[in-house]
Amino acid sequence: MLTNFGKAYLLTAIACILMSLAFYSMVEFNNIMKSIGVDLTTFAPGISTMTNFSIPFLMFGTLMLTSFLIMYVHAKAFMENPKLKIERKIIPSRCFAGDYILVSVRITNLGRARLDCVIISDLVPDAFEISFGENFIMTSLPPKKTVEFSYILRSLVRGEYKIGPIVAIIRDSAGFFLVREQIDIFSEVVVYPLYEPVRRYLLLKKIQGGFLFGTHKIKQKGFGYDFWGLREFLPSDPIKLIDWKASARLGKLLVKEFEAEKNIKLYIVVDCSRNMGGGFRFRTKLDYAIDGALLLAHLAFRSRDLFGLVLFSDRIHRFIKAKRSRSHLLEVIDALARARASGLSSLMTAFQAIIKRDKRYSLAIVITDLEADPETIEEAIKYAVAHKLHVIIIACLTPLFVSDPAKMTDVERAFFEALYRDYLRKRVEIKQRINKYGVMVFDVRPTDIIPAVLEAYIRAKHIGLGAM
Amino acid sequence: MMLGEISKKIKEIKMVETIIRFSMFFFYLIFIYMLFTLFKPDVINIYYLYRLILLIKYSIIFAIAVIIAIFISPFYASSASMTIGFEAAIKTLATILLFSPQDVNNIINFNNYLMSEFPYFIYELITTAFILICLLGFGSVFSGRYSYILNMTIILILLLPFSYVFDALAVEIPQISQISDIPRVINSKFAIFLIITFFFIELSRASGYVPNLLNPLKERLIRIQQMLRMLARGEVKEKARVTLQTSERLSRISKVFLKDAYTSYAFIDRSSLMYISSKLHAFIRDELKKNPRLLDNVSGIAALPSISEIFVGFIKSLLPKVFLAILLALASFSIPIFYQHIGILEVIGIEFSVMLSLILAMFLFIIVEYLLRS
Repeated sequence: MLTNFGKAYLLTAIACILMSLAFYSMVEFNNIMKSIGVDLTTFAPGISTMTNFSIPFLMFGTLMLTSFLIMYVHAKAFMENPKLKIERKIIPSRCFAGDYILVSVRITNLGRARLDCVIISDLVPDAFEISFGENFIMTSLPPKKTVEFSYILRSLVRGEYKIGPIVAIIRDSAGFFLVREQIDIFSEVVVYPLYEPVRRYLLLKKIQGGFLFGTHKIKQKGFGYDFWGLREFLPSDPIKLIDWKASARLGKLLVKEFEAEKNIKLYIVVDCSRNMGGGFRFRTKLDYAIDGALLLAHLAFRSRDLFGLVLFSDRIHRFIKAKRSRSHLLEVIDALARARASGLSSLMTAFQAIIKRDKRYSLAIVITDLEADPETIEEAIKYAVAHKLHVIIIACLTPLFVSDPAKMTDVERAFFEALYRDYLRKRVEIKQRINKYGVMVFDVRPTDIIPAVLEAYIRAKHIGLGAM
Repeated sequence: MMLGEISKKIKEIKMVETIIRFSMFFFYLIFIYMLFTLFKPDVINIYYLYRLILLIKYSIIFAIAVIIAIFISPFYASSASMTIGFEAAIKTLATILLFSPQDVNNIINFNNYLMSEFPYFIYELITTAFILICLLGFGSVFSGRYSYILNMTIILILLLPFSYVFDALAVEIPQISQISDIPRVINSKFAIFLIITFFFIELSRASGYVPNLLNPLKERLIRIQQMLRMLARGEVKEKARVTLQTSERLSRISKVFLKDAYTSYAFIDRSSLMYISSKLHAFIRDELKKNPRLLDNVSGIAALPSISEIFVGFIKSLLPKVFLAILLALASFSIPIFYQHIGILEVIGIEFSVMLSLILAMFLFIIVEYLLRS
């Protein structure tokens, strides 16, 4: 590609050559004018000898044009098909939102010619912020030489992204010719959801000695460590359970009973319908739901519960069967990172998937906006309850997720409040329908989705929903 | 973190730029001297610039006076009353602008003034064009902008024939009848001037490469330097950390927050500078342990070509181009001269036609190969 400088240079050279021709013509023109009685030499005396300029101008034009031609040949030979080897390294390629990623780009000139000016730009998705360094560099590359540059990105929002392509702009030393080449090298980066709520929870646990202390126990008799009560000895009881002190005091054989320690099987069900994609840029309802889901997964993992994940809309986006291991937690986090909003919401699809694949009792904590048809929601709940699937719903109050009343004018706020009241009225109707089946519904705003998730989990543990 | 090294590199780049500018300035002075001496004495004179300014001033006042006269005189008024209105406008303006009686007289008799000014007008334009060339050349030398040089060349190739047309003695130029061989062409002052001009254009182009390559790197280094300074604010010294942790004023929870912020997981406001810079700082520190050259790569120092490398590359690219250009030009001159020696055709005609055909062939090649294809 010829740059503007190149065009200007070429035009100047051509102008010189054309002017040398014009000088010849001017002499002829003067002769013609003289023949019709108009003598131009009276006010332009030099016109009759303008041919004196022709040769120097032609020489000057030739020099410029030749120089241009040499540059052109050089550019065509070495710049048109540059042999560049470009590699990109990303450390780490998986991180949590808000964390930093180091990107290093190595460029090697495999050709035999020196590339005078190479501009390499690595394109970065807008879900990242360049925190340190720059994603482009301008340098010269002698043959067989390697140049490396790095920059640090800050991931802003969860998701799977591709860093790239790389755009290489090669210019000659004069800046007359330019070759732009796009090198399709992509590096995948998976950004996990914001881990801050989990970190806060860990911190609180560290400070308070664990605020979920004891919640993993189910209040029923069994073999545990916490004392439940005393009862009379039966012949089938093991001797080791006899409380000898109490027996001596009361004069009959008594045995100790303990609280049973049972774990629950939890399915974290996240609505990934198109509606959940609503909200602010980089902070949609789905993002909040995923924050909650991440915390649930972490809590279940720490409490040694079995936990699985269902991402659904009108189809199952991802189903991860309930298990309990560190690699399983990572699998769940990875699935949450890749969740995308699409399709219509259908709770029935999610419940059918759980019941079909896992027939034993379990608990499903559903994070949704309850914006599907109330009839179908009720049908789904009925189906789940009939199949002994315990359900707790965490329902987002959509208007508060998609608009910020604090930034509204008085008129807008009044309008918003009227709409919000209407929305709440409908929500109450849906809740009444659901509550009939003994299903708990927590209405949540953006600020209290994490406390709501914690509360839902603690309550479920206390009641023993989904206990195995 | 390597702030000193970056400052050193910035200084080095500035020094190279200064050297290149100074050398180009020297060449620029030669070019200007040659151009100045190409014209006969008194063609270029500041006095003509003064006359030109005066002419522009009179023209503006004349135009304003005409407009005022048109507005203050009714359309049915006689030409005499129009003239009175015109003169009244001029005198009022002259009084406001403190003009001398000579100025007023010149504006009133603007036609006569213009006719008497015409012979000087050519020199006024030549002087103006000369000053423009000087300024553009100077601007190019000191800013490295090649567009100035190209603008300067265009003005130059228009100025020379223009001054010759209206004053055949203004420019010293060899007679076409004297051009019969290469030494005669090259020995003429005019040809030497054109060759120097060509060298000046080529050198500006080539020397512009170095600042064009180094300037963005210098700016990058300055930006990185600022980033590093900002980042340094987030760096917490070991001593300070201990003091904060043992301070009784801090609650237990805030201590944990601060400790966390220092070790890269902050619970302070996520948008705060302390949060971002401390976390980033911790990340860089960790990465530096794995790759000690990290900051070189981030700042661009690793990609900075060495100064000697740039100069070698610069000379390597410049010299063959200039020599080839001169050789080709000489060859195009030699062919017609050869023909002249064997007595086939008249020298000027054949020179012209052969050179022109060569040039047209080149031009066609470029058009077909490049412009049409792109």
